[in-house]
Amino acid sequence: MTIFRRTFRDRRRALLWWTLGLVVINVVTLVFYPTVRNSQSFDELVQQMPEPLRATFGMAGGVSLSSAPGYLWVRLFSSLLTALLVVYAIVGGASLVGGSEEDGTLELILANPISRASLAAQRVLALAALLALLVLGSALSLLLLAPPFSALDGIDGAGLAAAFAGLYTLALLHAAVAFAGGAISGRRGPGFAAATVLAAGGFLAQGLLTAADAPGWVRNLNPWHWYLHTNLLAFGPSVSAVLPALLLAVVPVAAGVASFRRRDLR
Amino acid sequence: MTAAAAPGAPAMPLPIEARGLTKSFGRLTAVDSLDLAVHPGEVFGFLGPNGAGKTTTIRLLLGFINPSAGTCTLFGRSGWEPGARRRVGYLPAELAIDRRYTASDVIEFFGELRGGYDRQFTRDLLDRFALDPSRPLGDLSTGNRRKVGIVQAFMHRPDLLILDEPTSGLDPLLQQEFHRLVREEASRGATVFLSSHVLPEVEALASRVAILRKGRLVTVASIAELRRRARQRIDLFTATPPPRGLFETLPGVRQVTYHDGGVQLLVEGSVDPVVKAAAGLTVERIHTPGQDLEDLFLEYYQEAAP
Ligand SMILES: Nc1ncnc2c1ncn2[C@@H]1O[C@H](COP(=O)(O)OP(=O)(O)OP(=O)(O)O)[C@@H](O)[C@H]1O
Ligand SMILES: [Mg+2]
Repeated sequence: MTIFRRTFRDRRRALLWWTLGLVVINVVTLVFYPTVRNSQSFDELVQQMPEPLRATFGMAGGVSLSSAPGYLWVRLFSSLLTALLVVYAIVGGASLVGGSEEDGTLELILANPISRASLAAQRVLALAALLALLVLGSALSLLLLAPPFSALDGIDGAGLAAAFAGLYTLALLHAAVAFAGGAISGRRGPGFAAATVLAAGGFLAQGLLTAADAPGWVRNLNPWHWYLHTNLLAFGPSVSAVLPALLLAVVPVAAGVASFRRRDLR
Repeated sequence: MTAAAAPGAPAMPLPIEARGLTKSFGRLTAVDSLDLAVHPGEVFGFLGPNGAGKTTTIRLLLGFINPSAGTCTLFGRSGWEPGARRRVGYLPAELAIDRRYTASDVIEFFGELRGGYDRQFTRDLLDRFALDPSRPLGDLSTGNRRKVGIVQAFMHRPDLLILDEPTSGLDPLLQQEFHRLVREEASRGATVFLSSHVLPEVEALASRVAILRKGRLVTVASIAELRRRARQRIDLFTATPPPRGLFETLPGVRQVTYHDGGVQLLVEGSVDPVVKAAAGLTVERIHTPGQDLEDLFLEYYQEAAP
């Protein structure tokens, strides 16, 4: 597990900064909660919308925007927090093989007695662990900082765990796609591109298809839908928000490793 | 030309063996039907001008790229197998290591990947090359970064050292130190594959040399053999002008030029006939200008491959 440990060590300083960034986002979001909680007008506006449109705001199933689960789900879990985690996952995933090959640093490491498959797998695992720590850091900071703002009212541990688990698997899937793009091409660019298409396309499609009330099976083709379609904070653990993304992530990882094993280095 | 092993399968797998090794990049054939056999314990020079395919050959050996045709092995196993690389130390032409790593990081990291290394020897290497192991590579000078490359290649006392233009960027003193290191490791029994485009280095270290040109092997020969093949220039200063026709017909004499003080001869192979013939003259001074082997190399570099 030398490569795992080394990858982890190389990235732990950056992880600290990212964690700090996520804590700041949590704080800013929490600070504004009291103003929303006390104003009912915005909530009434949302309640007047047709159900599909409300669903795009994560307001389906009668969750109020001024409640803690409604507010946090919209302001954190279906916006900036998710976006940043996905960015972290994509940047990290594309660099695992593609980035280090592009920099030229991969070759000398592979002059050592280690197989390419093992190197790639250890790096993927290291990123998965780093991402887990980042999510954990965000969760802990929310848990510690929210009570003074009454921002956890109506959210139980299961709901919180479900939301962060969904977030984690969604980001992990993007990391896997970015890794595959990099591992297959030997460059960062294709990794960024592939995963960004999934992120931007998936997010936009989720909103549009939900608003258009598209058939369920069409919406269910989209990993962003798996995560966003119910307010996990309010309704708690959902297998479909975690398991499919986790299983699907195996596919790009396997494809990336298989291609990287045998191809020419750049 | 080939440098295949002696007839009959060798009892021990060779440190490096290539048969018909070919690598094409699109329409460019960077390495073309290469046959190589590097024997245990020898220092093997791999010479060729820029772009001849030296680095490409090394990348094929280490399994970084796939051959388009042919095979190559390290100790009888493909470079793709991690196990084959366990006994190898590789010094790349350009050291690309994460700039944040210190030399200590590199030693620890690679040492772990190789399942251990010779700690005392590595400490001595750091001393020898006056390398501060605690500074990040990004802060080091070109030469110092080169030293990190040397230390990581030698630190686990590998059976085979693959060195790609090892002394580029090193000052003459360090080059000397490096040459000493290579000789020590060779005398310990390590095999050294030394790629270079400078002759003096290879001449100083190698026992055998392969010359590569445009991906093709031009020749494989011992340095002694190359010296025999090299033409020598001999300037004879005589008391009286030498008689015309004395040297022209001698075996090996390629060129005769008369000048004020005597005669200049260009001789291929043994100079014995020339010396015997000159014995009848009153020779006041003998001068052998130029680097003979250098001339030969330039010829190999330039001429079309035979
Ligand atoms: N990955 C690659 N893609 C395309 N062409 C390549 C690649 N690698 C090497 N080449 C080409 O193959 C030829 C041989 O290159 P190589 O680096 O092996 O030469 P070299 O003998 O090491 O030269 P130098 O002494 O300058 O280091 C060159 O023409 C080079 O441009
Ligand atoms: Mg080269």
